Amino acid sequence: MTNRIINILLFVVPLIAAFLNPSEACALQVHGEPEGLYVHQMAHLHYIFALGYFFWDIRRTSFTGRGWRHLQLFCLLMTLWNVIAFIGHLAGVYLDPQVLLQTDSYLQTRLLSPITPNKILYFITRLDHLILVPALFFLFWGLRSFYRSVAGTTGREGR
Amino acid sequence: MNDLSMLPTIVVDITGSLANILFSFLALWYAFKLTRLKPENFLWGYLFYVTLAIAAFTISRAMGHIVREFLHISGKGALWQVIAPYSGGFNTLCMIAVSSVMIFYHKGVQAYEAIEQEAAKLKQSKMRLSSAARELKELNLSLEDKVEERTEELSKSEKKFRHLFTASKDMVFFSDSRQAILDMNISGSEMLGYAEQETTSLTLHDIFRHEGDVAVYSKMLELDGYIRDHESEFRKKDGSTIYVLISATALYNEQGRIIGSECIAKDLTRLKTMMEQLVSSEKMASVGQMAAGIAHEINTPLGIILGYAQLMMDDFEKDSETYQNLEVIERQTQASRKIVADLLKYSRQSGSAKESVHLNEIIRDAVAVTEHNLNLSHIKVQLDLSPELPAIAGDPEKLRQVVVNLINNAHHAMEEQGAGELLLRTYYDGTTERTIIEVQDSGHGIPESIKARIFDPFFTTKPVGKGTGLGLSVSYGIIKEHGGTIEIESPVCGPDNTSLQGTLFRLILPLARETEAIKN
Repeated sequence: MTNRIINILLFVVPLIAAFLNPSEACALQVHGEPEGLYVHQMAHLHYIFALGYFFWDIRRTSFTGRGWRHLQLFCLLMTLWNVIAFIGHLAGVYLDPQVLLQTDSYLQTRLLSPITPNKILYFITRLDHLILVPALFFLFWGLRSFYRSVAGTTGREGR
Repeated sequence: MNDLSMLPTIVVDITGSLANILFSFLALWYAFKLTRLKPENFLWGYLFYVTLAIAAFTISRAMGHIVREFLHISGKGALWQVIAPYSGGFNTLCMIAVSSVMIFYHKGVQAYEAIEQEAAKLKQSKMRLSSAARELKELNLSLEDKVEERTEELSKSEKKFRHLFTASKDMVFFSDSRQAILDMNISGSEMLGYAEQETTSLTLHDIFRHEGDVAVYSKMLELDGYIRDHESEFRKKDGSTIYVLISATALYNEQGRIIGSECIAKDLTRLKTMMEQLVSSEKMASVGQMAAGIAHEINTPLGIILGYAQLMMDDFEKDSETYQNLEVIERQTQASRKIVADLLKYSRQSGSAKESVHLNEIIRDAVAVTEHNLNLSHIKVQLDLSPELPAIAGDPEKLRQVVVNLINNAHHAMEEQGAGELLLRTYYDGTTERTIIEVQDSGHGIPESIKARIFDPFFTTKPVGKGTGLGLSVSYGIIKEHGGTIEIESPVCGPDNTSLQGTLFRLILPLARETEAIKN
C-alpha cells in the first residue's frame, strides 16, 4: 500500500510542478502568430485537394443525372472559392491596415488610393460570397434533385 | 484615383453569409430526407455527412462573418479581436473536417461499388437461380406430365397385352432357358387341366408328351429363333393327350443369348378328331357306294337262286336228301339276301317311311325284344327316359333296329363278365336342339386301336359266324340318314370327370322339322 502511494506521488508531483511552472517544460513547442494563418491556408489547400479529388471521382464513377452535374458544379465553384479565399488571405497579409480608413462608421470604410493590384485583389476577394453562395446553391439543388429522383423512383416502386 | 468604398464587400459578406446558411441547411435537409428514404444506400449516407460538415463549416464561418460585421458596425471592433482567433480556428477545423470527409468518398465509393458489384452478382445469381428453379419446376411439371402420359400409355399397352394374354382362347406361355414355365394364361391351364397357380411349377418336359419334342422345340428356337406351325402333342394333367399347333419365338438377352421363349399353342384335338371323322365318313361313304353296287349285282342272282331252289323243292319229297339240300340252299340264300338288305340299308338305298317318332317308345320296344336274353346273362337294364322328349321325324323300324343293334353289342360286351349294367337314357339338349339317346354298358370297352374302325362294314371282333360286322355300319347309315351323328365314349366319362369301364354310344338326332329340311 505504502509503495503504491509512493509511486502515485512520484508521478503526480512532477506533473503538478510542470503545470505550476510551464517555462520549465522544454518539450512544448511555442506556436507563434503566423501559424494560425498558415494552418488555415493549408486547410484551404487541403479543401481544394479534397474537392478536386471528389470532382474527379464523380466523373470517374460515371454517375449521371442532374444531381451529379450540380454536385460537380458545386465542386468547381467551391474550388474556385477556396482559391479566391486563399488569395484573399494572402492579400490581407500583404495589405497595410492603414489603407483601410474608417471615417464616421464602419460602413463607410474605404480603401485608400492609390489602388494597387494587391488592394484590388483584396477588394475582389472580399466579395468571395458571390462564388460561395452559388456553390452552396448548387449543393442544395443537387441534393434536391437526388431526393426528387429517389422519391419518384420509390413512389413508382411503391405503386 | 479615388478611394474604394468597402460597403459592397460588407453587404455581400452579410447577405452572402445568410444565403450560405440557408442553402447549406437546405442541402442538409434534403440529404437527411434522402437517408430516411433510402437508409441502406451508402451514397446518400455519405452525402449526408458531407453536407453536415459543410453546414457546420458554413454556420461557423457565416456566423463569424455576421458577428464580425455587426460588431464592427456597432463599434465594438475590439471585441471581435478577442473572438476572431476562436472563430478562425473553428473555421479551419470545419474546413479540414469537410475536406477529410470528401477524401473518404473515393474509398467509400470503391467499397460501395464493390458491394454493388457483389449485390449485382448476387442478384444475377439469384435471377439465374430463380430462372433455373423455374426451368426445373417447368421441367419437373412437364416431366411429371410426361411420366404420367408414358405411364398411362404403358398401362394401356400392358392392359391391352395382358387382356390379349388372358383372354386368348389359345394357350400362351413363357418359359425360361431352363425350360421352366414362367407364366401361362388361363386357356393354357384349362387346356392342360391344371389349376392356374399350378402351371408355374411346370416345365416343358411336363407338358410335352414325348421327351424328344422338348429337344426339338429348343433346337428349332436355337437355329431359327422362332417356330412356326409345328404340330406336337401335349400331356394333360390326367395323362391324356392333346394335339397342338405351336408357334414360338426365342427371347434373347443383351448379349444375344437365348433366355427363354414365348409360345402360342393352338388346340388341334377337336380339329384332328373332326378330320378323322371326316376321313372315316368319306371312307364309309365310298364303302357304302361299293356295297350298294355289289348288293344290287348280287341281289338279282340270289333272287333267281332262291326262286329256282324253291321251285325245285316242289319237285322232291320232303324227306328226300335232295329236298334237304335244297332247304340248305334256300336258307343260305335267305341269309345272303339278309346281308344284301343290310348292305342296302347301310348305303341308305333301301326305302324308308318317315313319320313322327317318339324315341322313348322305340327304346321301350327294343328293350322288350331283348330283355329276355339280357336277363339270361344277368344284365340289369336301367331306363332313364325324359318324359318331355320331343318327337322326331324318322323311320321307327330302322331306329328300332339301331337301338336293338346297340343293345346286342352291349350284351355281347358284358356277356363274358356274366353280369353287367345297361343304361338307356334319353334327353333333350335345348342349346343344340337335339334329342339324344345314350346306350351305356359296363362291358370291356372298345380298345383305342379299333375305335376308328368299328363303323366299317364287315368289321367285327366276334368269332366267325357270330356276327356279320354290319350292325354298327348299318346303324351308322341309318343315323346319318336321319341327319344325326353317333358318338362313342370308351371308357365312359362319369360325373366329376371320373373314368368308368364300359362303352357309351350317344345317338344325337335333330328335331322333326330339321330332319325334314335335311331330307328336302
